Amino acid sequence: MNEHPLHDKIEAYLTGQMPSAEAKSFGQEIAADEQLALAVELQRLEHDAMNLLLEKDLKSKMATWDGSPPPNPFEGQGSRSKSFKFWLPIALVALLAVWGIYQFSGTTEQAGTPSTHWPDPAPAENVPSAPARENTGDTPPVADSPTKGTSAPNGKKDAPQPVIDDKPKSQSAFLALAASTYEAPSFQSNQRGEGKSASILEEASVAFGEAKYQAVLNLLAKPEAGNESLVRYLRGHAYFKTGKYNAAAGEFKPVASDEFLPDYQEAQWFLLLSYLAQLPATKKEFEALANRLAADKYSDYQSKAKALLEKVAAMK
Amino acid sequence: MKYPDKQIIQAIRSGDPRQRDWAMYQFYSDPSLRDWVFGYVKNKGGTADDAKDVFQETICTLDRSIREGAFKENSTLKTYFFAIAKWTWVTFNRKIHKPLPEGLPSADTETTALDIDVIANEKRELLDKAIASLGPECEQLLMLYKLDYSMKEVAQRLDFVANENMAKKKAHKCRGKLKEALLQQPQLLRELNIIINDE
Repeated sequence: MNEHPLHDKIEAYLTGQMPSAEAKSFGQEIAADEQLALAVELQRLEHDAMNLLLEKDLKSKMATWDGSPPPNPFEGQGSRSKSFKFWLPIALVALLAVWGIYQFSGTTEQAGTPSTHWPDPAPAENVPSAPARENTGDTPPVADSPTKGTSAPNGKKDAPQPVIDDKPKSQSAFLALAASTYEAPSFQSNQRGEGKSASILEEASVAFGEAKYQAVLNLLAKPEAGNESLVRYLRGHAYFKTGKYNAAAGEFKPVASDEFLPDYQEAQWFLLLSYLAQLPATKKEFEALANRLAADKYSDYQSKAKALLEKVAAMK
Repeated sequence: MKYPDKQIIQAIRSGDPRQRDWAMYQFYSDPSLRDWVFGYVKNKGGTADDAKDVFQETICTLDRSIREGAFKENSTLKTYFFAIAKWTWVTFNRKIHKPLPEGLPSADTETTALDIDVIANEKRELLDKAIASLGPECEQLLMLYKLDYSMKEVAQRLDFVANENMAKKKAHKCRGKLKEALLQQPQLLRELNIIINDE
């Protein structure tokens, strides 16, 4: 757009098209050079002006949308059926994969090999240290039951062994419900934050995606990881996956208490699941939060909270 | 939201004005988002008109955040929309010089983590004046440029631009015009701490 190389360089910097290492060093250059800083600010203003043009244009369009909505550019392409056709094979493949993994893990377990999908063998603080129970089949297979990994290397399905369960039945059921309800969010995309904190977060996110929950905790325990909301939120998930529900609740709670944080609503939901996993010890906290979410029409989790309350009531 | 987040994000980032309008309309026409914003603003002491402004401003900010990559897809679009709406309400409240209601944090706390750059009052005044001097052709061209159109696509889309080369020249001219218009308001630039030496 402009033949002036500095203009183009600034343009690349402002539009995020400059490689991060170069952007970092250019940022240092800007900080040291007042004239350059002014040029960057002025060019930034130009971009703001162009954004304002787009904003004004959008607002003028909005004024007409009540009467005549904009045409659907995907119409005629059968977007819905197309999307259905796109997702159907993926869903089938995923189902087959889940079935295959389930079958495979069953075979390997029968062969006496410990299950490979167990979480890192971190001690589960809410699980009794005494011999833990076997996977008796009432624990949903999809969730990493926190009781796994604490003992019972031989989770055979067809050769039942004496089940030693020093936990009241209802407690195990609450734990199972929490584990089956829990769905880990994806942390794989770009993370917020800056500098070292961002790179640790990114590394921890990748580790989380690879189910290396103890590695996540080790990474986020580093002082340079900081303690911003996303760090706490991710740490909460890692604790949850390692069965440390009380610690998970401790991490989710501050994020869930600040409605201005981006992960606020999610943190509330996962805090609720952390309480659920600790029932009946956390009955008071669970009921208070579940009822609040179920009554909150602005919450994304209202219906889920209602459903969870119903399930818990049915269990009682 | 009736459509998956991915489809909406792709439509906004496509740069195609038709797709972008369609995507923005998904937010605009979603009664749950509208009701949420109206309920929230009302609950915080705002009027229905305030809520309407906040709702529209939120859509504009969301569009920009998605286009410019500030939205990192760490949450759902709906959650992000609500976070922007809350933040927009805080800045809106400051703009109309109302004291912040009790219990509401100031915008310079954790909220800034959202990376939302809402154009401040003084800046808007400066930009408005600069834009007014551009003329409709430059306006159209710069909008397409900001939507990441190539010069070839700009030439194809605008009647008054014959070819890629001409689009390039015209775009350069329009940017120059915009810069000049900005520089013609040194007082406002000073308020934004942009001090230009007259040489």
